[in-house]
Amino acid sequence: MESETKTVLSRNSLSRRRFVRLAGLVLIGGATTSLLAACGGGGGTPAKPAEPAKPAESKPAAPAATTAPAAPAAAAKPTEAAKPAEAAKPAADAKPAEAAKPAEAAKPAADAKPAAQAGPAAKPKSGASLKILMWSHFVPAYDEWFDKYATAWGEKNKVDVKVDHIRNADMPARLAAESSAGAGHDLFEFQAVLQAATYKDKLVDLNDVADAVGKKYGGWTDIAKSFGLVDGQQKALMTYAILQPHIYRKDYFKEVGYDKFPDDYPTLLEASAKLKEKDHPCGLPLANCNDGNHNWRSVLYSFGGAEQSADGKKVTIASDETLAALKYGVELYNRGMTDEVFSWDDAGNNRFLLSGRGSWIDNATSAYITAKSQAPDVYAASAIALNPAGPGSKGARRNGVDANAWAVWKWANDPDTAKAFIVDWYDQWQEWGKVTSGYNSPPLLDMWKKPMPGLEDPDFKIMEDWRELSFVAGWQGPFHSGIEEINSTFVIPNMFARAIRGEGPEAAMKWAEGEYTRIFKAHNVG
Amino acid sequence: MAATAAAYQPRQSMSTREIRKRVLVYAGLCFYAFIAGLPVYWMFITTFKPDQDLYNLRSFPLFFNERGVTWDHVSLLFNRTGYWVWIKNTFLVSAAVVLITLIFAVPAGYALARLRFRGAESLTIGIFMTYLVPTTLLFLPLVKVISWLGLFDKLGALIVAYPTFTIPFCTWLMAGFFKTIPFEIEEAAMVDGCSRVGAIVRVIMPLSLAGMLTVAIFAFTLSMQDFVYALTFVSSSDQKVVNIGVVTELIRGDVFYWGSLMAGALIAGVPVAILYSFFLDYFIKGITGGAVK
Repeated sequence: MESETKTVLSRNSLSRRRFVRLAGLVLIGGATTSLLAACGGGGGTPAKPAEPAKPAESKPAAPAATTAPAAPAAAAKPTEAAKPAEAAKPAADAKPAEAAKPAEAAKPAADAKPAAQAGPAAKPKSGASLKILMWSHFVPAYDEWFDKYATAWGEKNKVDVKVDHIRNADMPARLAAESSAGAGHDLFEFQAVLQAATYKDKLVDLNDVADAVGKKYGGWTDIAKSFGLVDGQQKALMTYAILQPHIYRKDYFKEVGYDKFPDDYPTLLEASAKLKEKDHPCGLPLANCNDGNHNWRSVLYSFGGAEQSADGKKVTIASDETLAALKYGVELYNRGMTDEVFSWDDAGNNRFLLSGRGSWIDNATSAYITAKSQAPDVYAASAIALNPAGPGSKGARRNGVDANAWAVWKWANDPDTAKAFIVDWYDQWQEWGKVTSGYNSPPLLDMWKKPMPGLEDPDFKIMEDWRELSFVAGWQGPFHSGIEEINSTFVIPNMFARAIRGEGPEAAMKWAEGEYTRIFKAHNVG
Repeated sequence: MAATAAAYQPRQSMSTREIRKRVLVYAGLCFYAFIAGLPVYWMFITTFKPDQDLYNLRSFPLFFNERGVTWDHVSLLFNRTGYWVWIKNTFLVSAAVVLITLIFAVPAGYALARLRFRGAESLTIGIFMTYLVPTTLLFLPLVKVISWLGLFDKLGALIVAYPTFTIPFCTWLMAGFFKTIPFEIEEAAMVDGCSRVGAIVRVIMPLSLAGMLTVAIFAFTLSMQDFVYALTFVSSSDQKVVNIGVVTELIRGDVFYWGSLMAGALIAGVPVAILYSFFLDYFIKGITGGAVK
């Protein structure tokens, strides 16, 4: 009986050989099915698309309904820019009101009528399709809002709209693939790294959209005017700028004798040195990342160092002001910064702040908003401030900002539908301002009237005075193809890194001048 | 009883040399197991650790800290992303790639190893060399082919693209494996009346099971590891594979959802690792098969 049981067991037990055979059969079956499904007409799995990613852990603070708009402060002018950052902030310790549900705050308003009828001739074509490629926004509630809005817009206009999101760092590779394939999406958004000149022959001219939207909203801001303009054609259109305030620890600054964030760079250096002694250094990335680009541009511009002349024809990077900025950078690194900065990516300074060690960083408000859910202690002890003013006669408060832009591929299913979508999206500026707590900074003049949507919260109020302090790459001239390459090859952070690593400010500046001259020549600029 | 004790005595009194040897062997094994297992353990801890503890420098990263355990990261992964769809896509693509690779690599490896035609050796090396061309160079020309086939932004794009690097490597691997099987066995089968195909099916294939399993494992692993093709050929959320899905939707520029990222990697990786353990003997036999003749 016992031996019989053993025989039965051995017959029924799964030997390794039998398991392998079984696994092989399952594999072959699955592979054949998937092959047929994946290469079939529908493409891919027939599965119902999952709900797009909505990691809404870091909901932005929505404006409190009861918050009365603050009395509008006088618009900051470059000459007045050295005013204390805190002055524009009614209550430093006030916390944002409880976040409203993003879904409610971001209620799609596709049916909303434009304020004025100045739309372009382009109208959405009934029955057309529109595939949109977006970056995964740093404020996830925006993606949630955008996806709903795009769907509602599609239903209203009988257009089949599909939105895909990918990581911003992966956007250039994806665009290269779409450009090479001559297929993919119809409408997409450049994120920080503008490549309008690179793809100029493959992008639809958006002059008509720029004119129509500009007329409707009182014209484009200074930084938006030349952004995406290639050989007189608007190949990309600024969606919004991303302001870069300084996010600092109020408690640490207070510990070393500063009740508020310093208003000028020399004072900031002294404060940073004291903070580093208490193991609370600061950090600006000295690496090839977007944060490195705009962080060091803020320093450079505030000291008066310009990349090119106002007409964009002459390289002006080699100047006494640039030299002063570089010397400042060396001193700030030696006396006040953490040495991790050489290895940082765009998230490096966020982690540094959230760890509780860092005393201040220069970053978009996403770092501050995220702290609310991921490190509430850090959030409670932090605040945002304008970047300081540079010294000297040419010194001022100038903030290097990132900006994004719409673009339409020439192979778009129906370019007019894409254009109509862009126009209607600008009409939603109040919605996307609110849902991002002002992270999306508008590119049109009429949108800068106070109170601005999303900035009702006392913590964000100072950003209402930011328009005249904001500069995209290429200051003091326009954003052209040469600047586009300089920005995407990170010449400015590399210049500062070279100076700090031991080459010295003079040699680093000379190297940068060589790079600017070479790139300008390659692009026939000047 | 006394006799039994006497019989076991030599085992109990292990020489000092033997003890030292065992201690060293197990110490070495423990060290490697620790090195290999640490990342997985860290992923596990991160998956269930609240954000506040994750970002606190005073919290020891390898233990749960004062705020204990949270399911938020796992919940976010399953409820607010298309994780299950990505997992399904990954296994479908990988399984299809394994099948295609076996269909091409096994006969090609056999031909290169056993048909004794001129230039077979150089051709084997040449085929392997194509594997060394990085995908970052190939994706732009390949995207034109994918587009021409009408597969851009479809899972089919990956099923067509991945064999371009799995077949060369696996052909080389199979050629090395076939060389270890004595010609005499195949010839004996043919003398006994088998055709060449019959000899392959009845004799060579059963003997090559270890090699084919190795090829299957490699093809599966390489498919799951790719990033460039998956990123550039597919962008729709419902067409993504897991290695792209978690990265593109849980890293938002400067905001990383560490817990959910680790959960995504852990859940996709651990079952595959367990599955591999079933095939470990075959895998070792297959990969070392060509080493000695």
